Amino acid sequence: MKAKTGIVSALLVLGVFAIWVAVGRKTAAEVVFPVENGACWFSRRVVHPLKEAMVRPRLAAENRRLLEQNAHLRMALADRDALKAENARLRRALEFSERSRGEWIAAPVLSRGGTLGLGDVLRLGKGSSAGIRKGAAVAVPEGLVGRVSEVSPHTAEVRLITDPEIKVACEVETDGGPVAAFCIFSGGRIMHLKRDLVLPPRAKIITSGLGEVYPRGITVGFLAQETHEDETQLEQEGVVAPAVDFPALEDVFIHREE
Amino acid sequence: MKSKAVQIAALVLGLVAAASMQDLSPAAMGVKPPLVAIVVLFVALRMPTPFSLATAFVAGLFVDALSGRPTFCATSLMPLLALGVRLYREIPGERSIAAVGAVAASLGAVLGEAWIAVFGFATGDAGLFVRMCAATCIAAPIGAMLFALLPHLAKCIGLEDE
Repeated sequence: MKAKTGIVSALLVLGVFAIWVAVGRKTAAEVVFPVENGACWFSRRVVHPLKEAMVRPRLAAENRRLLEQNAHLRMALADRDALKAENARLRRALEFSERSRGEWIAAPVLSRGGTLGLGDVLRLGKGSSAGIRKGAAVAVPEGLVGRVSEVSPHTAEVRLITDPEIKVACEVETDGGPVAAFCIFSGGRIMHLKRDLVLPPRAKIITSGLGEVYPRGITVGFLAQETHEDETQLEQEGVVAPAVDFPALEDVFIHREE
Repeated sequence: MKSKAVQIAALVLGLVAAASMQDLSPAAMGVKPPLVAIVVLFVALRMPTPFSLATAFVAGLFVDALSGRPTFCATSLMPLLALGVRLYREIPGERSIAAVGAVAASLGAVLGEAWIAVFGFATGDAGLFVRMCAATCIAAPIGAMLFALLPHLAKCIGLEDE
């Protein structure tokens, strides 16, 4: 009788475990979402205004500066719209397909590092109900942040580009000029650069758009050291400093395909 | 004595709150306060072994699900912690509840860091030794504080000593 109960209990535990492995991550994220979202709301609506009230004069000056910057940006936006329209017209004329279609959706960062404090994970406060899909690119104006690895209705889990499992197809840009080389960024390094290539210090690494996961032209980082031969001695590799300050992230943008 | 359903509901709420707080906490040297592990240790000290093991297993699943890593690291660690703390309780001698909490939480946190390293998960810039030291420094005061506080909460829901 005892053996039978033991077997049934073991099967029950295994069943629960299997179900949890299948749907547990989404469920857990949804269960803690109200608490984390509440904490995020409290921080932004209560703590931040209190802090702001204490630094009002500085905020007034900053507000003036931002208003000026806003006017400049609106001018630039008007120019960009005109360029976009011209670009679309030329594309149609040349019958080119668009490299990337979609829009960027803002999402708050709920937590960093997950429960185990492993630094290359973020949880965001937008999920499948906002049209976010697994695999979507995540970025901020400074550069590429990572890729959505899991989605629940109200949350999305993001693996940062510092995670060695994340690979990004990139190209090297020099002083805003023409593209110097194609490469792969992974775990803070660029790999598979041509052996004879000489790159300037702090060369800019941007997404190439190949693979159609990350839209083209997003800054990944800057070359931190001179490139050197890799183990095979057939190609070069180099260390890259990411463009984004990951611990300071409060809001990010998730790419939503049309 | 409250009904079992109320106790289990309170325990689940406690675990959810602890997991949320742990997830939201900033990491120091890549280490977060092990709030869920402390709740598991507390339950293991007060409740019968099957109940504490089940709680530890569920808590482990929850922590793994929120860690962004494949399930099994915390799921295997938490029941070990629950069993370990029961052995620690068998050691004779007078100890205050806060001291028990500080020691159990520190040892649990150090074992947790070693466990993460065994599973080969990326541990950021800090090495294993630094993470273990940081884990002890963070877990000891929080463990002592929570172990002093939790008995009062446990009394409210009728979670008496076994």
